[in-house]
Amino acid sequence: MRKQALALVGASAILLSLVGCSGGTSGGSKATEISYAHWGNQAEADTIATMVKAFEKAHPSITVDDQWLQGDYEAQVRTAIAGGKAPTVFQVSDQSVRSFATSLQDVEVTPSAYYNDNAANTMKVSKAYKAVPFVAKPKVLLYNGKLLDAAGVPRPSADTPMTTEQFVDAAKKLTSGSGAKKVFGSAPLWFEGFLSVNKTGFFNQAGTKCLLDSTKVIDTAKMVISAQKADGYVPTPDEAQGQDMFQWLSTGRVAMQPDFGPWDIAKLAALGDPDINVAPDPGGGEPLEIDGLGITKDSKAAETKAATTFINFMSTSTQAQNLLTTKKSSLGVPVIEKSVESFKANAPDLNLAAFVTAVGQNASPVAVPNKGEILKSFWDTANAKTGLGSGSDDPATVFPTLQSGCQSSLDKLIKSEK
Amino acid sequence: MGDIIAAINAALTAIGIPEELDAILSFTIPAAVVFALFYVALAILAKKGRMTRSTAAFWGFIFPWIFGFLVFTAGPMVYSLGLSFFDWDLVSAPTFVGFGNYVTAAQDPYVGKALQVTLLFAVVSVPLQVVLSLAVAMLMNVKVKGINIFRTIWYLPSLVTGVAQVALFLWVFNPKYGLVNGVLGFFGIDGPSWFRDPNWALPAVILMSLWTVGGNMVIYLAGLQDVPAELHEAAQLDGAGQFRRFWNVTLPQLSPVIFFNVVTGLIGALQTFTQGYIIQAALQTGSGTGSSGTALLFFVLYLYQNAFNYFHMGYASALAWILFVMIMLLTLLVFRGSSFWVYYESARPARKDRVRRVRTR
Repeated sequence: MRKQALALVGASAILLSLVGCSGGTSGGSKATEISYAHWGNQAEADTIATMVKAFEKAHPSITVDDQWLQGDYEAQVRTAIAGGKAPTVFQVSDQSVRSFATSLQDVEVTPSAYYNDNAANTMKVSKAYKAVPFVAKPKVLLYNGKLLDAAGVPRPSADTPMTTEQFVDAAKKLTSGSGAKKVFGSAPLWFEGFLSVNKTGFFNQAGTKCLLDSTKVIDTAKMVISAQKADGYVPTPDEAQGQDMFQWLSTGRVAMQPDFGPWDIAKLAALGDPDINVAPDPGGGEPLEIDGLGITKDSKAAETKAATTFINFMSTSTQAQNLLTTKKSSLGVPVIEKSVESFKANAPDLNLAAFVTAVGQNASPVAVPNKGEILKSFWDTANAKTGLGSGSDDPATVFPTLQSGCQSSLDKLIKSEK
Repeated sequence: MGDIIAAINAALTAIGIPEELDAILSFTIPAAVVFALFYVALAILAKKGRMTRSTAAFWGFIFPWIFGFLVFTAGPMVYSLGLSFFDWDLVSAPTFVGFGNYVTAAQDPYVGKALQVTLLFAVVSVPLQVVLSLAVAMLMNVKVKGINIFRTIWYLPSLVTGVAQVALFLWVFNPKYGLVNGVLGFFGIDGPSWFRDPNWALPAVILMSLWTVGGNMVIYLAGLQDVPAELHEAAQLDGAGQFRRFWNVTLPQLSPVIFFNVVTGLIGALQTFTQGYIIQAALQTGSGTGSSGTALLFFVLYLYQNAFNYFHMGYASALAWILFVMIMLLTLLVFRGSSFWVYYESARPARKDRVRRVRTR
């Protein structure tokens, strides 16, 4: 038995010495390694990979471990933070920066570096910047010019948004036929998106009051419900289920799509159809998303230094910002002025200026942490009872009954934050 | 524990081990130490005669499983029990709330709704699966040429489960372009919106659950082939018809298999998650509308939402324990009830003895 114990100790010693040897090799390297977590689809991940490569080329002393978290991004990052393995740098949206504030270091931001005030402001929590903005993701109106010409509807202006009424009138005129051959004036209207188009939202600007019983919210719901009825100008939810609206638009079944995001620019450019183009969204535009990069509080001094270099490169260097949209892949619109021309040059035949205009025009929704939980009851009831889902009740009778529940959840959240 | 891991990490860094190995080594080193200590202690006990060699061998072989159970099952369970008394969002410090999470659960209308959806699903889908898989097994037990091909065909769908199965059925039940409404339309019936309709979403998921009856069918088939032929012959000689033989011979002989399938099916049904999660995610994309409200709010889905969407880890842990207790009680109930209808061949002599003893008194 003593022999066996000795053998065990010997084996452990060999294992440890082997591990020690492997550590010695990389221990000699002077490069600082940081990790960077982000979400996104394939095109967005490809774009970020290209930007990371450009950074590593410009800063050979820093290596970046690119962590593409494909699902449940926020949950994965929070779990990593809780486990003491937070990524050195992680992407946050303007909607989530407040909920990550306690885990992020304060960072230096120069608002004048960005052509839009929103960019820096959305990264601020209690007067301190928690992330640097690095990409804007506005929505624009994608349209099929051939269908508009055939229906005698003028093509949208390249720089002036239609009013909501003009959009609805145009969509109605563009709708024709029936059954499988029906041509729709528009793709389905995203309710929250059209709240923004109608310059309102679920919450007031201060994020302290629910607006479910407001006339604007109820009227917007009625507009969306009317549009998706069987005789409406957008596909019914049954018709739209599982369908790709970009494909419907490119094949002539849908004339306009008001929630076209910049991550599909490369796909649109590859289509090469001169009649399919983009214009500003109607009214106040669908919600603008601005994403930033924050540094975890857990990082060591050397990592923080490297991470600061990295986030500043991604946010303010033309070398990185020019790569946000290329002919091959796309993530969004640059946040610095100097890269705007490079952004537009990727598809000169498309009106990409509409995206840049939208960064200034479209509003960012009020950032309320745990918005999903606060609005859970609203969505469940609205979907079950009104035409937003499968019900038939009038939003004017349903929504006011949900106001107090929403308000008490919001009050509870505000109280817990204090 | 965190301090030990931090100390190990610091020691590893000091001797130049790359950081990527921290996670694996900070687990394997303490594990190796625990294993070494245990086996050395066993060896000493066996050598001093405090334990027989065969007992030491037993503990030696069982220890890897005990270690895995303690670290990966019992440990997290105890941790989650502790966590259920805290409010924790993963990024801030946990706050002790006592029984607050359990009180909240008792008053939460969504908990009631989730229990209703889950129990209804379990109560309807489990018996349906049992009946259908038994019926198919009996059909597949017929001795005809090429029966193995039919058995394979019935079993094949069981290989497409989980996310793939839901993705498939999203198309099968697609209101406009799906197979089901296509067939209904052929007969002039305007099919419902299925997953989008609060009245039809759960029935659609129950129908979907029948897709995997092939797995249970194989178990029933094995059970059927185990029924002694002489019992059937004896019953036939006594003049029993086909139904009588099924009712009085086949079913009692199969009852332990049915019991096994009911218990595992019930536990599985109470833990349903994937269906609700994927369907909800698929229907909420695009226009942001189309969800069927709370029609598919399974208990585990609500637990998941609280943990990983709203980050109430303490509340989610409390819900997990409520589910655990509920499953335990229901399983216990089924076990107690089983004495009325489950027949064990091996239990027969014992029962006879008992009856004889009672008569003798």
